[in-house]
Amino acid sequence: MLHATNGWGKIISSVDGTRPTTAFGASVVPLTNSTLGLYTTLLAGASVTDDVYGIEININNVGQTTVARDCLATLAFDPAGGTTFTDFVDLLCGSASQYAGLTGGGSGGGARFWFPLWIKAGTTIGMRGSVSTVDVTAFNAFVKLYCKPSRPELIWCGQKIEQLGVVVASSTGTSVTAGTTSEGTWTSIGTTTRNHRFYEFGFGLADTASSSNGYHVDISIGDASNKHPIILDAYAGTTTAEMATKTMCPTWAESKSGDIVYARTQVGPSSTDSTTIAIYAMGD
Amino acid sequence: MASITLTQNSATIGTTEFFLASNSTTATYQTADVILQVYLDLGAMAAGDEYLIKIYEKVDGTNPEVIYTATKVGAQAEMWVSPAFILGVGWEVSVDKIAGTDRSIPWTLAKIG
Repeated sequence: MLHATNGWGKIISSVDGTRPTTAFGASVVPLTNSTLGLYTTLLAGASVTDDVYGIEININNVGQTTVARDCLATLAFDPAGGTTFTDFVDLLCGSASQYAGLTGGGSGGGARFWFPLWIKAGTTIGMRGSVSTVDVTAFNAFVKLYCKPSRPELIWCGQKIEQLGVVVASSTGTSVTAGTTSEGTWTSIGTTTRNHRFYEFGFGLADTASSSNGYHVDISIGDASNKHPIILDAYAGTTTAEMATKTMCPTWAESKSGDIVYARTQVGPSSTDSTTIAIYAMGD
Repeated sequence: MASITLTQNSATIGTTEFFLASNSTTATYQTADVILQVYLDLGAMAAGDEYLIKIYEKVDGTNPEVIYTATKVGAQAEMWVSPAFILGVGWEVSVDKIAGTDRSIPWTLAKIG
């Protein structure tokens, strides 16, 4: 019980002051099941005026009505401030909803992620995408960067992500069958190869006729007989317009190389949709 | 002049709270003025294990109170190190098992005083 906490002295947003709209943020044109898409700059190096200790990523406007559209949005960096990017992580965001003015009503918000990632000042932040459909209509994305911590000694930041459950060849994650009246079955998403201190997850929808549903996502670490939950009832949602939303779920949790990471979901009030999960683990 | 004292030992710890400075399941609260940092080797822990670490001090001069707790769950990738505490009224450090298997846990109490 140490009575001190960190605050952020500066937040840099790639969309600050821009009126929210359906397709919000920079336009990213994907390829079909390919990791070779063209990069879009989300935030130029000149705008990254300070060292970064945390990054929020939003991906929206992936989903298309009556289309099963899975997607991996690849976050990339150029530390030199140019546009020669190196891929960092493939974020699962299949059928991520429109941002605002969601088809069918309500606010979508898309797929949101948060990572305690250290990025040096001047780094250009980019993204490219891969979708499961032949249609390569662009999706949208933006980032926010958290800088100037008041208590840097209280922050842990990683610089590597191990992605588990991502299937690059089909732009998807690992299928997890949701439970309905009870929890679904634990599904192994992958085995870690490094020690980790932080976890996030991705949620993908690829369904030609999804329902208006809420999903509770549980993540655990352990082995076949012992599972230590690190995320419980994290929310993701689906709509009757084949769109998905996912809240940020930054989770500090320690794990050891060789631990197995599991996921299970529970859906309601309607029957389950075709959904997948990916897990992102950060270590030193 | 203050000096550094390193007290090292190990014990197989189960559901009975084990006090490190006393090296016993019975606490003898320490009155030496110290800056204390605790190092634990939890490398024997595995999936399904949970251990609770507590640091006590007699804040009111009479009754030992828990001033710091930490919980460790599952296989551990690295050594555990506490923050530094300034103590001297009547302090102790304890470890006990909440779930899983009894494990042999080596420790070091690093004291400046």
